[in-house]
Order: sequence, then structure tokens, then C-alpha cells
Amino acid sequence: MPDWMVHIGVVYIICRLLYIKYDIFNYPNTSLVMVGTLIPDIVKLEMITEYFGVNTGDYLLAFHLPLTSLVMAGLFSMFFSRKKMVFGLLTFGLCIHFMLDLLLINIGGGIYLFFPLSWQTFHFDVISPDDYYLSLIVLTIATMIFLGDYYQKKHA
Amino acid sequence: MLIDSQLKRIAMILILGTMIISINYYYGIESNKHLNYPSYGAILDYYPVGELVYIQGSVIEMDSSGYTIVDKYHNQPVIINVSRKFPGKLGDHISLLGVLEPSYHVNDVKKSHVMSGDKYYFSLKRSLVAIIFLLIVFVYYWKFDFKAFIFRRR
Repeated sequence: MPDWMVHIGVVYIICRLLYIKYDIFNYPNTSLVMVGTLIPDIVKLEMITEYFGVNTGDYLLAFHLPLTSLVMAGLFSMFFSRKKMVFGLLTFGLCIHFMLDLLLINIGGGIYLFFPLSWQTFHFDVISPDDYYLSLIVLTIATMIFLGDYYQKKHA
Repeated sequence: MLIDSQLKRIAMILILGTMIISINYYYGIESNKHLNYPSYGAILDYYPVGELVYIQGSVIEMDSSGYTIVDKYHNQPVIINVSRKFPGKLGDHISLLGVLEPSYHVNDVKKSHVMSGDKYYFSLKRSLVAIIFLLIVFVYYWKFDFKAFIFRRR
């Protein structure tokens, strides 16, 4: 998958642009969308369990499914007072995550978008998972937006 | 009223937690049967010789006739030899579709994708920086109320 810098950077850019019209995408809520965008990558816990020699089989892989990510978003939203709003923001984040992951080159499979209704995989083979030019572009745009925002607030 | 809503919250957390465990369990036992191509599970289980398989791993050896890759499947290292000149360097990561031959050998590579080992580890470092950044941002805007067991805006 694209690295987390790309995921978080893209979320920041999208939320800042949406904030122009919708106040809900303020900075605190943007941080929730960022958390949402990393929910599917809970699957990366497998690297830690592997490091400690714990065999988790294929069970952790299910975290990288839209269905499981949605349920995780529901679970996380239980720890906030405005549950529906938080669930919506987390879901928005994980949708962005899957849209980016669908762009990745995947020789053997892809994402089971409609699991458990279908085991069909989807992938568009556009970018390589190790591509750091994408990180650079996203980081540059995010920094420019942040500086523009900061300059605007300072001179408001 | 407060106790009622807390009980409802606990019930919801338990229901969602059970759903996650059920989905993960179902996926864990069914996923290998629905792969687009047999992979390490199949290779270790019934060794589908002559079939197109999907394998991936890090390149640990290479010469003019081919290369050797290693990957861990359920904590078990699997070493596969591929008969094809490797378009990269030692330590790179490759994923490929090829025909499985006897003795953990893959021939007739149909498709492959190489990821530079250096770039891969660099992406891991970038991800680490990103998660630290997100933690700082999140903690800056949200704090955890241990009494009510919820996050609140600072």
C-alpha cells in the first residue's frame, strides 16, 4: 500500500479543501479522518507479531477489508460522545485509504471490496507500493496548503 | 439514564468486537480457497506442481541462471528458486506469477513486479514518521476522559 505519509497527506489535502465549504472538516475532525485512513492498516500488526514469532495465520489480514474496517470504525466511534459524526469521519478516512490502495500494482490479487458477498478482487495497477515520488508530491502539496492556511490566519 | 447509556455502549462494543472476531475468523479459514492464484499456503499444503502460482519474497541469492527468494508464511520461512535472470539486486523484493516445478522451483514467469529493498525500508521509515505525526496531532486536539471512558476535545 502507499506509505502512511501518503495516506495522511492526501486526507489532509482533501479535508482542507472541503473545509472551504464545510466547517465539519476543521483540524480536530481532520485528525479523526486521518485515524480512519489508517484503520485498514491495522493489518500491519502482523509485522510485529511475526517479529515476536507469533503465528496469527491469515486472521489479521481481514482488517484490510472494507467490511472489517467499517466495523472497526464503529468500534472506535463508541469512544466518542458524538458517535455518528465520528463514525462518518472515520468512514470517510477509510474510503480514501481504499481508493489509494486500489491504485497499487498488485500481481497476485487485490482488494476484496465486496467481501463477504463476493471474493472478487479489485486493483488498478497504477502505482508501485515503493514509489516515493508520490510521497514527495503529496507532502509538497500538503505543506503548501498548510503554509497558505497559516499565512492566511496570521494576516486575517 | 447514564447507567442505561453506558450499558448500551458496552453492549455495542461487545457486539462490534464479536463481529470483528467472527469476520476475521471466517476470513482466516476461507481466504486460501478463494485466492486468484495458489500461493504459499497451497505450496506447503498440496504443492500444486504445474500450476500458475503467486509468490513473493526478498531476493537472497542470484546468478546468471536465476535467483532465490525467501518469504515467511505463518512464521515458516519458504525458499523458492526462480529460473530467470533477476532484474534487480540482492535484497530487493519481488512478487511474481510463475509455473511451479518440483523441488520448490518456479519456471516460466508470466508476470513480476520488483520493489527496491532500499525503497521499501525507506517507505517503512516514512510510515513511522507519519504515525508519530498523527499521534502528536491527535493528542493535541483530543484527550481521554478515563471517568467516562471517552475521548473529548481539548
